[in-house]
Amino acid sequence: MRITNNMLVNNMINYIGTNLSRMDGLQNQIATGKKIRVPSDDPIVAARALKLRTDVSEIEQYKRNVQDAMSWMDITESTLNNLTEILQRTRELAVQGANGTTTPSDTEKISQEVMQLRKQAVHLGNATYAGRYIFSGYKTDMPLIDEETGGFEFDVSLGETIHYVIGIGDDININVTGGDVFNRGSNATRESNGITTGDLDIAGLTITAGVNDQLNLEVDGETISITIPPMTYPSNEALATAMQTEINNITTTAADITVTLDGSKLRFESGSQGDGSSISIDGSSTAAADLGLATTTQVDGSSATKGNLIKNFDDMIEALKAGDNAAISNMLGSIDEEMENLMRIRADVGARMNRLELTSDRLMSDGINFTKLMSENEDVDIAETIINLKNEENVYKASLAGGARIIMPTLLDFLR
Amino acid sequence: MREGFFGFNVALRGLYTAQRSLDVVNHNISNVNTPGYSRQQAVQQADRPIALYDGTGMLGTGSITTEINRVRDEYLDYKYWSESVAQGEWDAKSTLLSDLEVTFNEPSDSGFNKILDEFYSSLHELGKDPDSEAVRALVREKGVTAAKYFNSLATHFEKLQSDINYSVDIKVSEVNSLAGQIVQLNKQIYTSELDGNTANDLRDQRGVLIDKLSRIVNIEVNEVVVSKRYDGREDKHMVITISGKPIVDHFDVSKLKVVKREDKLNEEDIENLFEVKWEDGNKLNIRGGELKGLIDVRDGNEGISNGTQASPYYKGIPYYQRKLNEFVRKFAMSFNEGMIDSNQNGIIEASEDGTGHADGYGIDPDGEGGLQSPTGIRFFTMLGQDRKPIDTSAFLDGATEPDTIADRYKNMTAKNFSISKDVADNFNTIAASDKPGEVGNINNLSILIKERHNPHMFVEGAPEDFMKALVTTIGIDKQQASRICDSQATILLQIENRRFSTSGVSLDEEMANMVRFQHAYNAAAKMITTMAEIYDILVNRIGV
Repeated sequence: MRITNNMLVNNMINYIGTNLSRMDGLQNQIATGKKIRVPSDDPIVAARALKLRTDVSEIEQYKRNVQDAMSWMDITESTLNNLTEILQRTRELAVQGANGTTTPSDTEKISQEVMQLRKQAVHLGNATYAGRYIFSGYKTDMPLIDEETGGFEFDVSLGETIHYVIGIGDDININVTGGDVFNRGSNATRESNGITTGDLDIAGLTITAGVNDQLNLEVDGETISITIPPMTYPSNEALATAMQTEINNITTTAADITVTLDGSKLRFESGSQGDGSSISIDGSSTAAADLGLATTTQVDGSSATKGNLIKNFDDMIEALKAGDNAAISNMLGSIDEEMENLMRIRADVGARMNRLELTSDRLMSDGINFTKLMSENEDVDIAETIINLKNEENVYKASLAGGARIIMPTLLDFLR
Repeated sequence: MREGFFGFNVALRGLYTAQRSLDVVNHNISNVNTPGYSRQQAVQQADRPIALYDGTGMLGTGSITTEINRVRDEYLDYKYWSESVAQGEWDAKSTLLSDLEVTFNEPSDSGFNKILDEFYSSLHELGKDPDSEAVRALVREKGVTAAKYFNSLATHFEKLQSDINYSVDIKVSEVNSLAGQIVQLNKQIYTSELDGNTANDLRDQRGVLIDKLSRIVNIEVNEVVVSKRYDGREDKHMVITISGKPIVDHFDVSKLKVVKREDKLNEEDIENLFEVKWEDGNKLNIRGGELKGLIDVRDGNEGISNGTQASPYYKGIPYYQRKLNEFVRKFAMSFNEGMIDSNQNGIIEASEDGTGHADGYGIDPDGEGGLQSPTGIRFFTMLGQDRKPIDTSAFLDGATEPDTIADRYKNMTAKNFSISKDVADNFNTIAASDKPGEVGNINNLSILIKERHNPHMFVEGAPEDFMKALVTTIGIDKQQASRICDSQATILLQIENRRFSTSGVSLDEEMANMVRFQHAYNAAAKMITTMAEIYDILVNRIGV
């Protein structure tokens, strides 16, 4: 084959270019520490890199979730522990009080301590973790138990379980609901303070101003007078809505009343709760008769629901104050039941914490494994790459030197 | 009988041919680096001899230069032109795809996966502290980041599409300019060759232009014999065709033009893309070259048709735009509504309507009403006027049924993807709870987090799988383009080397020739001196 000068130059430029681009590739690998820079360098490695990066970052997130779940459950655990201690002390005091030789003045003194213990129990019921009430179910922004009455502030069903995600398709319940602890494994319910009327017969009922438009309610001893807008009401709903609108216009605190429809009955619920709160309908007000509310009904709100645990304290304090040894002795059984309930919950919490520990260990080793895989997949072997680079450098130098020898001389150089 | 000054004439011819050959050597040396230049040779032969009728035979009369040839293997030219088309096409594709590839920014610490990871991390944190303002603000910001990522991808793609569009325009003018120049050269070559010469240098120049043209668009070059001339040689016209229609026909040129499209080829396209046509309005079928590379990447959407025209069967910008749009639509629909087209039939059946953000409740931190634990809020909507996010009701536009709601998502694109105005204005609307008024309730949030791993969200699988598939697709396509481009470059280099081998100027050779012809010249000159001496003796010494 005939070889011309430009062929040599062309080939040399081409080969040197190829050498340089190989060196550039290796140089990039060393500078970034990664085998690939863009997906096209190696689409398979790129795809695996994406997957592994996600895995690693998710594992980190699950680790954080497990840590936070553990902190929450630590608080729960220690709260339950304190509660058990309180019950133990209460039991000791009950044993002491039940003794026939203890005089009423002694039991009176004991009752002082039990009252403090009750207060502490209520306080524990409102325990918080990072500002969130741990026994309040989903209403973590509100304390569970009313400090005064010891009654539940709101309903917490046993189903209000908070779950943290600790793996793909894996979550763990981190909270214990208030009812489970304070109501011996039942839902915590706030009994509303309300009154239900008899069946309404709205058909053909017309409210006429000055004739049958007045309905008086008595809430906590205060009279609330409602003027029902005069018209013919087509349905129970219309009447209930009209009454609620009227009530909302009244500004006194006692008028915090909710009118709801319970089948064909009207129900008035008072916002106040606890001992001494009451609501009643004045059967003599003008609208009462036409609405079938002739009878005055009253529900005393004193029975607003307390959890079993607090109720036991109250019963015991009452028995202690009365100096009734037999009644105090009877309390022992109830206290034991509460303690058993607590033991059951603590065992459950312990089991869950155990599971968290195991998950945490597994995540830790997963994290190491995946990070290792990720590194194997995308990180360069520095030693190998440097050797390769050195090798390429030699090839490059050799090709330059060779080029310099080939390109330079022509016959011209020898014709003098 | 012996002629008088016959020897002088023979020596003179020797001088002339040596000089002519030196001229050619000179020309070759000057053009050693001229692109496309073919080395030339002076063809010399012995001149017609004189018959001596005294029985001695024929007497040589010296040498004569008969023609100046260019050394060229035209087969290599045709070969070059046919390979150069593929090189042009894949070089263009490789360059453009690497631009696309970089846009995805994967794998990196700032690409899609990182952004999605962080978005879901913020949701996890929200689950652990659902009423924290800081965490809610974080979720909102991560939502914005995710949306912005898609906006910027889409914008970049649009920008690239418009850039390519201008490149198409430029390439078309280049084709026109080259065709014009070739016609000019055709005229010069044809006229100079009328008397039977070969227009060496002009033909070389035309070759260079055709080399350039063959890179841009698929061409076929022919020299067609149209008739026989009076001197018996063939009358050849040069014809260059693109997909069968001549762009250069001897002295005539049919130019190309770009026309703004009236109807978009792909719904994802930007406005006013150029369609390349013949100047007479006929459709141009581009089968290769840089133009095909540009157009494939600009319009390629796996052959999806707009009813009248099909897009190129290639994964170009519209394909990636379509995939990104598909991603944001399905992702937003799943996140907002819990609607996942599990059987991938394109219709949301009632059974495919699960729980999403809209089914949950936000929180009402001050308990003062006004914000009554709103439900029905969509986390993601789109940008409306002035590129401001629109709220849920504007987004839904009254749609209430799964199928009509699903239809509303067709308005969503990667470019207008955004978090909703509701969430942007008030992060308390982020719906973690599945019941009103329960701040610690994260049941809805847990469902949202779980959906991240739903393998039925896309044909490709979960969101990450979808993007992984997309990134791998572009990686493989780019790799394929670079490989074809590289191998074409090697083939071209090979052909070019063979061209150099045949036609290239070898300085050694020229120098050797120079010396050879110089010696010939010197010898011829010496011959004249010798003759002169002979005549000197004859004229001056004899007969004195």
